[in-house]
Amino acid sequence: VARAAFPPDVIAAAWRDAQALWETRVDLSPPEALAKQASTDWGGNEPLAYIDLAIRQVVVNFPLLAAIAPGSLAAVLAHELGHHLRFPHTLGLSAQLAVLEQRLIPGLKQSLTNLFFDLQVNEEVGRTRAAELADVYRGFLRRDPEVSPVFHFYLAIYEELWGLPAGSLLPVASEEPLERQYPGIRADARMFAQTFWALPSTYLQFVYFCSRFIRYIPVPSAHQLRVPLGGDVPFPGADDLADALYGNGEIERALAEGAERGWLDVVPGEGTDPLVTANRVTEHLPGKERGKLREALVSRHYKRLVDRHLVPIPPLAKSQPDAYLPSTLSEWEVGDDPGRIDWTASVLLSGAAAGARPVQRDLLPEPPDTVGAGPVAVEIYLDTSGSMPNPTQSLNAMTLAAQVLAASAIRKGGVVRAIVYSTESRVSPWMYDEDVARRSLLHFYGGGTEFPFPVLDRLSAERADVVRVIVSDSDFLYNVNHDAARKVLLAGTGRSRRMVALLALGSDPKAALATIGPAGQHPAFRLVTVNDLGAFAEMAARLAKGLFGA
Amino acid sequence: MSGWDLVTLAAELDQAPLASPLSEALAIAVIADVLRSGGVRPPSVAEWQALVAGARRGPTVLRFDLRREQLGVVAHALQSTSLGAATEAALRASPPTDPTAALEEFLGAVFPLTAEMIRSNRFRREEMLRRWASTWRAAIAGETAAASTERLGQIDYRKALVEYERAEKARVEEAAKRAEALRLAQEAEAAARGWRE
Repeated sequence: VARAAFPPDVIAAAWRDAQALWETRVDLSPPEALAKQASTDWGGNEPLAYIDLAIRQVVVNFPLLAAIAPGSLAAVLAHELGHHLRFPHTLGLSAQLAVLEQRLIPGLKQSLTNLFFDLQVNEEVGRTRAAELADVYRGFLRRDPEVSPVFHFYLAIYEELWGLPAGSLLPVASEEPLERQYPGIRADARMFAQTFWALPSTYLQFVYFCSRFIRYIPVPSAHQLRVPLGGDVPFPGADDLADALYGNGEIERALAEGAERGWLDVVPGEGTDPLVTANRVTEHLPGKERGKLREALVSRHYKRLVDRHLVPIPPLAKSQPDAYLPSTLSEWEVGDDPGRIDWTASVLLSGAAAGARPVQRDLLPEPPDTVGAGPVAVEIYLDTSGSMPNPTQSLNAMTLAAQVLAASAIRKGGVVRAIVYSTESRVSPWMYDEDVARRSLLHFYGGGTEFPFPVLDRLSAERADVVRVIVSDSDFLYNVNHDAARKVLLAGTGRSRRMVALLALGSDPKAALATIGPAGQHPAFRLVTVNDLGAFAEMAARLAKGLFGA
Repeated sequence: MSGWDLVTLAAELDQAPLASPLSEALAIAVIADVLRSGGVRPPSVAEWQALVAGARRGPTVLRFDLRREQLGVVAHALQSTSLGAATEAALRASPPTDPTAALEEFLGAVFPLTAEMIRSNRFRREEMLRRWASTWRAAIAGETAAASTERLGQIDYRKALVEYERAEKARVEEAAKRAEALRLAQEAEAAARGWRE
């Protein structure tokens, strides 16, 4: 049926018409059937059409289109081109809106951004092809007549926009019950249609859009909507979303204007935790994809925080050291520094005539000290017990401090090994890459606190030229407060270039040192305490500067 | 069916945006010229003054400013698009018995549209054009009289505002309930996070 409805010449003509609507030619392959794109599993929710940006290919679900609106191919293609060419203009904008909607409709499960861009595209396409678009929605409702409140509102907007009588797109029977459930829904749709497209900026449009649509989404955390011509805007990637986590001035102005116009009761606070936002904006994605994107976003956020603590200071030009190493002999001449005359060598060479023919010994600068030079190796023992939050959900000050140390060492050409522990522990390989180290240090157990003394014992026996840093809190003192542990710590300290305990402590450091025992008196041991968790990263930055000159 | 082509008129208006408001005197002169060209005696100076000043009897001074704005927008459209010629033709086809009363009716009907609303919103622009057509009994191309009346009812801003009041009232009540539900959800989420201060 689909092949009969859409022979190649019909597809070619529709493709030309769609491009003509946007007055442009595009660098995309002509439409291809969805069936050929077998690599994606749609789970029974095959889209009507979309553009596969990876292969720059327009894909159409011809059988579905033949079933619901066979005369609407040009409008459907024009719709897809509208997304590609204009709405969203960039995926960066799409990311900004996805983040903004979490401030406006917290906990929203499925993003409304696709619906928002559909409204923008359909207004332009509908100027000349409203009847074809209307056929698509009617055909969709013939197959699936159940209309949720938000879908009803959405279609009522098109009825108002295209000047269609109420009930032209929507089932007539749904109008009355929804009017009872949501008094004034028709007037709301009418006002929306007469306001939305006249607003001067995309952000302001989006604030208005969310402020109206939220009414018809009773449980945002359960919101899921399948609409024809939906699901065809790619979700932004990690780069775009990471940039969007922190908002921008234009968004704040749009929110303020939204409040001024009475659309919002209050301007939603700026203080939304970027980690919470990162989790929320990826909530609707499938498991594996969600996990990868979340990890990338969380990692970017911690990198930003690490960078804030590690302001690079331009290196000073090194002055040439004074020359003082004796080298070869040469004749002293008038005008040379008399202090360089080597009288012993002169007498040995010239005997009594040494005074007439003195020789001088050239001096060379000493080569740099090689002892202890070379890339620094750092082992970071990071406490991830349940007393601290999961770093992917809330800012974890200890994780951040560990990342500051790791980034400092790696930026100085060093290598880092992460020992993340709770009641169990995980030892990473030596890491040379800042991003790999950051992700490794984002691992979280969330159980009790058991410092991995056997691991310390083993690793310190393997390699002694290592700076070892323990990042923990007062729980570490409980862990070390028995003889066997003290013994391992002392031995480990003795087999370390430096052993530092960076601890969040409310108590007296002297009492802490007493608990630590003999290791605390070892010349290689340092205890650094932090009273306030908020100062952890700053203290780590200072420590890194002291240890690695970072 | 012949009549005013609103699509063309709207496109012409898009091509000729109003850069700065016309003065009251100039707006009156432009409208009076069109009336004269259509074979209709324009209102006298006193009648014009009454048309504009009539609004002074309204509740606010804003209405007075609004009428000046509205006359300015109409004059701009008459001057810069084919609306002037279309209006002249309509006047010749169906001369009004009392042009001053017709203008008063028009100004009453387009309240409270501002020049900015008409400039930035195509619905408001369409409403203004349709009301102007209705004032001079001009037909809209491709529409029956009943369809034109229905469309005017659909885009009637005053009517929409009144109906919208109901939605707004319900929205306020619903928003309060939603805010409370959200607050409870956030408290639950914070508790589940287990952050130690």
